[in-house]
Amino acid sequence: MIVATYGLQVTISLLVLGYFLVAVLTINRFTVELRRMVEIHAFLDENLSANDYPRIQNEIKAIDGVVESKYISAEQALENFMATTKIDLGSLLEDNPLPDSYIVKTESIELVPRIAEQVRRVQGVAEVRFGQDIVIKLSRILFIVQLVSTVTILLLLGASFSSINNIVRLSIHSRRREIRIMQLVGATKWFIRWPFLLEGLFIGVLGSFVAALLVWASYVGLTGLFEGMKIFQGVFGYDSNMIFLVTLSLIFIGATVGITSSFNALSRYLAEDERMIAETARIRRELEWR
Amino acid sequence: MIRLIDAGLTYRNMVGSLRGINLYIAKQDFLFIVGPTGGGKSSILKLIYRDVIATEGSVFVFNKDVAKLRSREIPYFRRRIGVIFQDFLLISTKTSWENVAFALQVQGIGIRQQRAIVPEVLEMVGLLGKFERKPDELSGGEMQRLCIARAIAGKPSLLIADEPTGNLDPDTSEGIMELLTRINMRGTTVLVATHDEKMVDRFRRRVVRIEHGRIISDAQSGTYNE
Repeated sequence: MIVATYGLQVTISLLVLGYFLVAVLTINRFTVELRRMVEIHAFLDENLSANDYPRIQNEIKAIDGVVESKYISAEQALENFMATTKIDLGSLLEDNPLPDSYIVKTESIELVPRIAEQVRRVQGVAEVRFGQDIVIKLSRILFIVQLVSTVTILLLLGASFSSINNIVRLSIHSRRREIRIMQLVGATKWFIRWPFLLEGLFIGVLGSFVAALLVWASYVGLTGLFEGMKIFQGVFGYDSNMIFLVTLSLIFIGATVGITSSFNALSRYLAEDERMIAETARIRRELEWR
Repeated sequence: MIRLIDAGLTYRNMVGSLRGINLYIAKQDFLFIVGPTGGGKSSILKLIYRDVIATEGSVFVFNKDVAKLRSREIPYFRRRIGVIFQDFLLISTKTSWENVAFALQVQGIGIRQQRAIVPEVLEMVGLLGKFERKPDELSGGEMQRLCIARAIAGKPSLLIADEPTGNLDPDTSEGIMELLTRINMRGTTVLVATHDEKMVDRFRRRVVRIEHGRIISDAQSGTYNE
């Protein structure tokens, strides 16, 4: 009964942490997607010779932080535009107004303004666009989101530690009579410790396992809602690696906290003898001094 | 076997419990420690089984200065002493058999030996027929007997009883004292702290009287008020 009650409380603590972990990891995936979507469009001059294209390509690729540089011809750009907008411009325009261009992807969103400036300086590049304002604002927002997420996870982790710690302490406190009996009949410290450590481990693993199961079930249910909606698949689709990581983390946290809490709480009882020796020495000194 | 030399005990609030206690207890002795409540009877017992350490003088048990025992030596020291309390200190979730077996298990005694020792001591205290009962299914006297069974299971050379008949009726108390006498006759040193006047007068053993933390008298074959 005691184990079931404490196990339930451990489950609740870890459940909150588990849900938040899933939320944070999903937000992380979202930010990765956003970062991936940010790219630099380098539009080229009109009168370039055939030799200029490989030179420009090489110069762009040589810039530190550039991951990929893809050539888009003027014709291809027009086709892409018509495919996206569903407007047949071919019958309306005599000439293609779009220039040749390169789409440049960078290692991180923070590098975009610097790399865009370097691309602009490449001879043959007429204009560079990357949505300056959006990129700068987005990188700030993402930084704040990640900072808040990290701090919240640390706080929740601390709260879970503290909650489980108190649960185990209460369990040990309720059995202090048994500990006292063991001490009086000659039990060694490790003889007293082992059952409590195993119990702490059992409660921690059992509670975290149930929490992980509930988090997993909720995750499967929620990702199922977005099934078939391609636009959300990248961010809200089922990610087996992520849920496995969350499950492992919860069980690891549950087991670690269960054992360390038991060890710490017991040490308080078992250090009684050392405290008494120190106290006696202090009283002896005081009596001698008098 | 036990020597207290100018032993004193002062608590952390600097209130003294014992002062200048000099006491020698030989092997196989049977000793009553008597006196009013709060006089220091239990404190002497606690000094002997090293539940507290003397703040003055020395306490030698089994020829060892208990103040110098290291923490890791305490369990092995306690295994040589059986302790009986007025409030029994039994584990309520365990049966009579399990309570006794638990004490043996704690001392590292294997199951096979436990199966031989437990019925022997339960029979000695008259509880073999109730080995499956839990403490709350036993009477006060039976609980005290179970407590004695647990204390003697490890065959200690010293048995300490703190007010063993404190909550018991006269007939039951006499039975407990007779049991302690039998244990003493088998070679175990027995110390009993009590304020049960009738019992002390009836058994006529060595009586040490303590009042206000000091030994007032020490009489062989004494009585409570002697």
